[in-house]
Amino acid sequence: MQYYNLTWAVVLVPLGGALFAYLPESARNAARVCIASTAISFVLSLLVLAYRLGHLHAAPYESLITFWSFNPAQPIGGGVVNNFTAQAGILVDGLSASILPVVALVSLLVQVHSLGYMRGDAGYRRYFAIIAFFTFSMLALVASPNFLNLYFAWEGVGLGSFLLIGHWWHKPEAAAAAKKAFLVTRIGDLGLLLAIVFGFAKFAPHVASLTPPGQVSDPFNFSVLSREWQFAHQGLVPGVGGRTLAILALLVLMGAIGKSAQLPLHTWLPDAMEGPTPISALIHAATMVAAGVYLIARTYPLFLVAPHVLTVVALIGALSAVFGAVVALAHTDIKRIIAYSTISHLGLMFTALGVGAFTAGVFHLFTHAWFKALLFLAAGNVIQAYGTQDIREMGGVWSRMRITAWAMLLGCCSAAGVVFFAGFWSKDSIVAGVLRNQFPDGGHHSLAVKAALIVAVCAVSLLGALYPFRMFFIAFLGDPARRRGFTPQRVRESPPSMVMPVVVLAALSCVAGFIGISGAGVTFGNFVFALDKPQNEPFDIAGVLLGAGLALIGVAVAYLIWVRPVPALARLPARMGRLAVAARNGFHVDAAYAWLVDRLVLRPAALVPRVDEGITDAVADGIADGVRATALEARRLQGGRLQAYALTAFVGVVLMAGGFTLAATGHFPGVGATR
Amino acid sequence: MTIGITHLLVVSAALFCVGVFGLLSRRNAIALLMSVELMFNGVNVALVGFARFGYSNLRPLSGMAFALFVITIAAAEVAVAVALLLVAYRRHQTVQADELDELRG
Amino acid sequence: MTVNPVAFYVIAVLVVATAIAVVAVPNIIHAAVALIACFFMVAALYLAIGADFLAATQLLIYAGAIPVLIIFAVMLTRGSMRREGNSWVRWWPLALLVTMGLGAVLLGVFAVSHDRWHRGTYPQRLLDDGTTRTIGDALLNRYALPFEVASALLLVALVGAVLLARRDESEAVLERSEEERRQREERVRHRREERDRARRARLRDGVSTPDEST
Repeated sequence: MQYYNLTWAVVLVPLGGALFAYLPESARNAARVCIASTAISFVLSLLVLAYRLGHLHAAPYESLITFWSFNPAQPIGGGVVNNFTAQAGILVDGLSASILPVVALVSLLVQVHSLGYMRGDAGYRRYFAIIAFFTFSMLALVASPNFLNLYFAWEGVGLGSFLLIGHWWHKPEAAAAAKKAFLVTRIGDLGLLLAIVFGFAKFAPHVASLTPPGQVSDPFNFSVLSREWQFAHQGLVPGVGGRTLAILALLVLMGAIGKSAQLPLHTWLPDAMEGPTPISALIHAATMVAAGVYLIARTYPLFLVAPHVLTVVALIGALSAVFGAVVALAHTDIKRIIAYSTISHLGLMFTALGVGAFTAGVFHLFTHAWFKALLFLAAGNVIQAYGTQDIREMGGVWSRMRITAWAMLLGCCSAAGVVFFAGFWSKDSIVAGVLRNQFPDGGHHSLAVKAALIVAVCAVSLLGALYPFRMFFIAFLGDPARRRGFTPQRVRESPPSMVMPVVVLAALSCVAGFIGISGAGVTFGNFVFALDKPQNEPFDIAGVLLGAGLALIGVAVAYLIWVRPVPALARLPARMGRLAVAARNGFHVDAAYAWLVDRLVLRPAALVPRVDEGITDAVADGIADGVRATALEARRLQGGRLQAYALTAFVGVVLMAGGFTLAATGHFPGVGATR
Repeated sequence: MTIGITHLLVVSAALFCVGVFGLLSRRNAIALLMSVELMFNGVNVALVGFARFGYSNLRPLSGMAFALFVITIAAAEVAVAVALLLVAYRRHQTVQADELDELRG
Repeated sequence: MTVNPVAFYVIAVLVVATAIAVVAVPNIIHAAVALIACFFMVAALYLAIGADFLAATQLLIYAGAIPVLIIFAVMLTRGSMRREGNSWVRWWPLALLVTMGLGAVLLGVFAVSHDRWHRGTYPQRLLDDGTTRTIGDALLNRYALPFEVASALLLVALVGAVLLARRDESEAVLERSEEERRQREERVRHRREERDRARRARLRDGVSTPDEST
């Protein structure tokens, strides 16, 4: 049990790194402080994971600090907030124990890579401090035992991504992208906040009523809430029915969509490419977008009792997956290709969670972290070497940057789901899960939904193999592009600090998938599953064959189009002209949003100044003008004339004396004395 | 009809009102001073009248004592006021009350 | 015991008449003479109602000292009188109105309260022996403190009057700078009036055209 408390250190050490990054004299040492803190965090998280693996069947461990407690003797808020305690702490179960090392390791490798990538940058110290803070936020989010804790970490993640995307704030595009990421995810955050508040209002009284006197009742706690959701499903919680659960689940889903860049809140993710490339790796692999999927995984018991929302999850995920794959196929900007591939892969995770293939979804989150970080870091090496992000202007990487190119090839294989690479295991278990449509209660989707999901997943399997290899073939194998001021001979391999993380990630991308094979009596499924009952997801040969086959077909097609052109296939990209342009523009979703915002917000907002000028300002100016005019007139009373003053005084005397006399003689009814 | 307090009070009120009118209407500051003296006299007449027709063995002739104080203060007032007038005249070359309006707002 | 009504009425009419003369005569010297006459008449009034000491004091101070001071003031400010225009302010009818209102209120007060005043018989002793002893008794016993304070007041007034009226060296310098300041202020005031007029005009017009902010 004591080992579990190391999780406190896992979470807090990076925060210390962020705080102490401003102590060292040199920026280089500041970076070392941050890297060391993340490394410590990673090692400790491995210890926690190992201990957890050794005690598989123990209950989840919680360590909590109470930082606010309402006195039950003095109920406030109409009795809703009664015997309620706000707590911060850590939760160690299979899910958090397996995700914590992923976050820490990806962050560590990204920071090591940044040592070279960001060399000479003006904001070097700030950059590392914020990464450490970002890592802390994500670790805290993963280890959150309750909604309050999770929400604070959630906002910390949003802040970190904002700061890092806008790291080069002097570039207008970067500043705009940071703002956009913040605002778009904020829409989702609102949903999460509403879910927390709404859930508190609905469940707090029941939780309090179940809590024995003198004991702490925390209606935000995930384990308490899991129980509550189950009770509500059975109709045991007064005032909470199926509709309430569905609304709660939808609100949580809204938060997840915003953070995980799913349709329709995906627009911030491609723009976030304005940040430094290692940051893209961090955001896409471990910290930012993973938070949405993790949130759904963490609150999965809620979704299980709101099955229709799970359908929504699956459909949004499938739509995002197809959308991301199509756009990635059309783009020529290497970072945007990878960014849209993230949307696609996260869509697959959503789909998996939506069809009840929980293990597959979390497993894909796990493997995706490695190959996505790999793709971005390798792309970062290439971008730095070539000074461009356009794959058509690269070419010939293979012969000049051998290690990076090999790593990129492995990453593409993993992303495409080529057999035995990491992506293969997780993606194909998702395909299998969708084919089976295995829902704990026997499946509830209509036939049309099932068919649509299967078609979508198959399409994504095919396209998902096509676009990484299109990128790889064009950028790495093609002829070196001729540009003014660019000499391909100068291109050489990146420095060790940038190559090492790529190699580590490449290795992980190859082998990480084998965790998915059950062995030694432990399956990944029954380890990470948040519910008490282990989930049985057998190795489904049909799904694997389908997914792997489609992936291989995709790779082959890419090869036949871009490397050994077969006329029938090579003409395809040219035929796609208009579709490709539309896809490259992200199907004009941004433009649609701009139009919508213009119509719904900006134009009505333009009326507001008129109200302000016409009414508010007019009133204020009128008051001011009135005062001024009155004062101009009133100062004439102060004529400095002695006799005018005396006259006024005597008028006053006459009026007062007369009035008093009349009052004293009873001429004013009710005033003064009568004789 | 015997002369009583009312008669004296009427004389007093008449003196006082004439003084007030002079104070309000004359332009020359010295005339204002004279008007103030008239007002003092009006008050004094009333005080003496009360001492005479409202005699009390408890505090005999207090009204007359008050009238003496009023006379004293009037003398002091006139001295200071004349000095002020002279200063004002030296500074502004006028004693017209409506021209001494330096305090105009 | 009683007061001779004929003497009283005659004296009262004279008192009021001379008082009116003070405020109604345009020439300030004539007004001063009327003031002296008025003070004499008030002294006569005091005598008529048996206030001999007050009458004497009135003669000494009011009819004697104060008019002298006032006439001095008149003579010292003769420069002003030469270019003096009207003796009364333009709005003197208003002043008259207020004065009449005041008189009406005073009479009204008398009318409603005359039967509530204390009335005491004036002892024959005072008429025979005079009031001096009794007044002196009151001043030095009951009103000893105000009496002393009055003497201090007189001293302060004396010193203050001398200080105020004295013309010293610095005052000449002061007067020169004062003259410059006045001219400067005149200019400033002129400008300010111009500006105020313009602002008022703008305010009048500005209500119909609220396009200043755009």
